[in-house]
Amino acid sequence: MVRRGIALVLAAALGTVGLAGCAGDGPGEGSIVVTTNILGDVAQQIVGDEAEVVVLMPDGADPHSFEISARDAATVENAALVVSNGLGLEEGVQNSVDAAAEAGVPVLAVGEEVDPLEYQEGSSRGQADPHFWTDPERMREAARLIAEQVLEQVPDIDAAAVQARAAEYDDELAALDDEMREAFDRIPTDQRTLVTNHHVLGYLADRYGFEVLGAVIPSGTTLASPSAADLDALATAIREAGVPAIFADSSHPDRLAQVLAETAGVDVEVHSLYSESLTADGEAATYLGMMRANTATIATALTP
Amino acid sequence: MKFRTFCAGFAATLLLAACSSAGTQDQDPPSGHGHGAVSGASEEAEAQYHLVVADTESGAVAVIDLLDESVDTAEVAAPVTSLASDGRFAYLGADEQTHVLDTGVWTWPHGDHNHYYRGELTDLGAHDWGAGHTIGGFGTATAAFDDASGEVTVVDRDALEDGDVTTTTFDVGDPHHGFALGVGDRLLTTTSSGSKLPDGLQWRDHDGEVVEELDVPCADLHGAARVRAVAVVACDGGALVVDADGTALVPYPDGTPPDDRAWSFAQRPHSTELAALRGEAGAWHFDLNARTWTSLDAPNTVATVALGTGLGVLTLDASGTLRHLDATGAVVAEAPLVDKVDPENPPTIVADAARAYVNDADAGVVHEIDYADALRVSRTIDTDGVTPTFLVETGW
Repeated sequence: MVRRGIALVLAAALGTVGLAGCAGDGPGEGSIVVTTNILGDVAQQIVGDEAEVVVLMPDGADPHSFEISARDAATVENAALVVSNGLGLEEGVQNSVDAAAEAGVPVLAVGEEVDPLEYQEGSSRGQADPHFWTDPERMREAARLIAEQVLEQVPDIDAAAVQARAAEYDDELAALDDEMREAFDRIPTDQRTLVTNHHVLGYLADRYGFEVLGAVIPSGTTLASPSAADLDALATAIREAGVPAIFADSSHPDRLAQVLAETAGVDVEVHSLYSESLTADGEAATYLGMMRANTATIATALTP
Repeated sequence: MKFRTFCAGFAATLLLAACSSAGTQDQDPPSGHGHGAVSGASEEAEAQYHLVVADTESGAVAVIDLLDESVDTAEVAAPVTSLASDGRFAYLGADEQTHVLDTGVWTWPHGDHNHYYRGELTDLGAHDWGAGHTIGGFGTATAAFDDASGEVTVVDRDALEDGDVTTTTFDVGDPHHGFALGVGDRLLTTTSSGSKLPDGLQWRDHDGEVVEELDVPCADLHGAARVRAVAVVACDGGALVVDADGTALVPYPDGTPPDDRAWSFAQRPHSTELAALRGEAGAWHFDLNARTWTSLDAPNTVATVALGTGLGVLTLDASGTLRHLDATGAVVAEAPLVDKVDPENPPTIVADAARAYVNDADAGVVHEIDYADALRVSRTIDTDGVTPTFLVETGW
């Protein structure tokens, strides 16, 4: 869930982007409120300065568990449009989103509109997978829906400007898709396996022909002095997949690689990926940046 | 109190998120913590297990980060008489007060996966909650029971997570050696009709109002464990299982001598299997799902813990031998571990999903045990000069 090396000080602050003065109105009156920071970036790219975009989820936060203050909740109820990921992702703010919907605020739950995939295994089997953003083609559809709803719901907006920005961003998403396909096409077919404990890669795998092999990564205390038994399940998965790298959310990726080599005789690189949240700064501060960074990590690691 | 930090260990320095004071002061407070909402803490890839050890004689305390073996030390009043953990906070009984440490690490269980958090170690000071059991828990109030007055102190968990100790107190009746256990948004509290040990149970709200009188078909209650929304209380007749439907007594097997009754439970966090000492004869394994007791033969056991998920129990005997018994009582592995066991203050065994820990006061270390690998000692953990008379784990 968390990529190491990124400071995640979760101040209660709202990630407020392009905050226009709104003295005299309730908080966020007439704004576009977006729950997750990934969709917040997409909405911001489309809207520019044409309307206020308020992102509820702080940089680096966990979309499942972040919660909002009473003031933020009021912002949601005053919004002209609420954009959420949906499909059960944002549990901490679902009540506020539901309350806004009941109060008549238009709510776009993007995930439900982009042909969601179902989990194939585990205790969530059969449920819709909410992590659609790892597929840029679905994100194009999401961006189109957001632009459409913005034009429909936000009063007095410069429609031509928004349409122009939306078209430009769609081109960028299409280019991202091309880049990803090109990078992944260089990976030999028999190496297109993602051995990982990241649980967001289902859509990416489906789009670009990867197999996802879920793996349990030994914990930090186990890695301090591991036995062969501690590493057995992971080492077996790696051997069977025959991959040179795994993608693990681990506090100690280098240590994990070292003990896999020493204890289990398995020689792999261990890389983390960005998963569910943009960061305040750096390569994953935007959706496009996050996807390019992950693409480079996967392609470089799996291409001989 | 100021913490002193000593760093050692294999790993690169772990990222410790600073608890930023700027930028949070003028924000509205979150609308209630519920679960896992965090300010001033970072989410981590894995459990941030820590140990807390305390020296009964000097009041020295060490907080050990199990990921990199760094140690923070502190002092509380001496002598230390008890040490309890609820996965995040450590409660030290000292000088008839309760000293609270926020170890800043905890786990939010979330359906089929967990979220792990890491913030700052914070000393929340000593508090006049009387001398008796203090029990906390994720998502529920911390409650302290004062044996001398029969008074319960309820500590607001949300405020405690913000570093504020906000309490409510109420009386439950005559003084006795009782407890108050938070379960969901209620408290399970004891009463006594005159004996030192309680013989009655009530559900109360956090203001102390009795919500329900419970039927208690046994006496001499002592030792309470919470497994999700269920409480298990040991008594002279067996295990009293208390849930929303009321109470159910699971009696000890026929022929159990009175001296072999269970007094308190120990288990890996979130385990539905519990362990208890069984007099001088060995240990008990109690399976909450199956509602069965199994008597395990392990003479002179002084410490035990249930590993859960069908893995059996660990026991330590008075000679310092550690044993892994399966849930039927068969010995899986055994190994001498502790050279000198103090009968007054015997070691404790704590267990998490991967490892178990045994404090060795005489040697001044904590032994880390790989219980899935024939009780291999995976690490010997230095406590930075603090004699580990008592041991708890946090981060779960």
